[in-house]
Amino acid sequence: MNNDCSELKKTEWVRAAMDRYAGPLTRYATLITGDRELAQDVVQDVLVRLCAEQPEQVDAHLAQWLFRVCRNRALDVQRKQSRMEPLSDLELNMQASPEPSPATQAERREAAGEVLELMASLPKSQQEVLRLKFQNGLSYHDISSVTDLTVSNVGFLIHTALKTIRRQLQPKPGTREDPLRRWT
Amino acid sequence: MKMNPDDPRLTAYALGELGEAQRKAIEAELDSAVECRHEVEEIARTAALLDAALAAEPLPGLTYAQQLAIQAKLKPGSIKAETRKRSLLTAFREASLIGRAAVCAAVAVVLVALIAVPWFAAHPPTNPRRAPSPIAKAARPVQIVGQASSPAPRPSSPVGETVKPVQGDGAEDSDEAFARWAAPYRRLQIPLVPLEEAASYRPPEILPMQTAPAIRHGRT
Repeated sequence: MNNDCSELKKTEWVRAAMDRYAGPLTRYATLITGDRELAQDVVQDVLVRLCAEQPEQVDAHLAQWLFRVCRNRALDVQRKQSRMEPLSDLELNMQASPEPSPATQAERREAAGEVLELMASLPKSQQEVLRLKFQNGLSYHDISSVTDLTVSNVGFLIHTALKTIRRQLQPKPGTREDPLRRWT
Repeated sequence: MKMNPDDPRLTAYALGELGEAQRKAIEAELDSAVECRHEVEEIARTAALLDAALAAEPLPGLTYAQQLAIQAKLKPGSIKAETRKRSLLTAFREASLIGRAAVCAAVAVVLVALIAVPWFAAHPPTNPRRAPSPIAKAARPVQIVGQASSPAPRPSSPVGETVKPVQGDGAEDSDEAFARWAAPYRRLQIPLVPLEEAASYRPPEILPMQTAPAIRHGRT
């Protein structure tokens, strides 16, 4: 009877985790792998691994655990892909490009707006910590355990990324509107 | 000491990442640093901007097949847990007549198997009775040439196993039984001679092997 209860509880726990985190994890894995389908495979793998875990051991730091496993798995997949496609579009998409093509620029504007476009031009490590912080609500400490960076490093990356975005959003000479004011 | 507006601690403060002590220390410094206060406001505004922009991003998910694959990992446990809620007795009561009969038959088969398998394991089948050697009571005792003759030869079967004749067995004197007994000796071309003729028995002369004629190759 106790077994049944714990199994049922675990099933509900995994389902809840899937409902809550499948989307954010897929988005995060897409950032690393650069490919939506690969990212989905990675997230499936992560959630299958979660099925083998004991809720009482993971639940206290579930988000950390999921993002950490997702990151490691996505990096594995990305390394394998890089070996197979050394100079593919995938590789190019992963790097911050100083001058994206006009088509890409328009697409980005439409999809995510100016801020996301600016964010996409940041180094990958900064994009990653920004997403973990602002999109997934992880603390500096959580991000540190997910990415294996020190808390100070995480703080510095976020600080630098915010400063860069802010500087680029400053009103340009000849314009009256402050983009920061427009958004807030 | 004057605070630097480019200090990462300001960002940490604006994002609520500092502990109580550090937060109070920063607030004390901010009281006297207008530029840093302005910096904190700007950081908070940029953070809100990022929050909004990232929240507007479409949220991808797993495909239906992937969700099913994950749930399949949980299925054995969940099915087990759900099916156990209904007791077996309740399920039996709810079953149709044919269903009940099938369950009874299955239970009977399992019970028979449970009883029969250990019983057969404990009582293995015995060897079938061998045909008695006809020699023991044969009217004409037979001497196998090449074996030492004894006054009362106790014949043994070709495999060297002594076989006791079975009293009252109608087959013991039959020619058929004798033929069966003698068959291995005959296959090996060992002559069987009646006992009274054994003393005067002369084996056939073994002729030396002739060399094979040379084969001539070529036309004949």
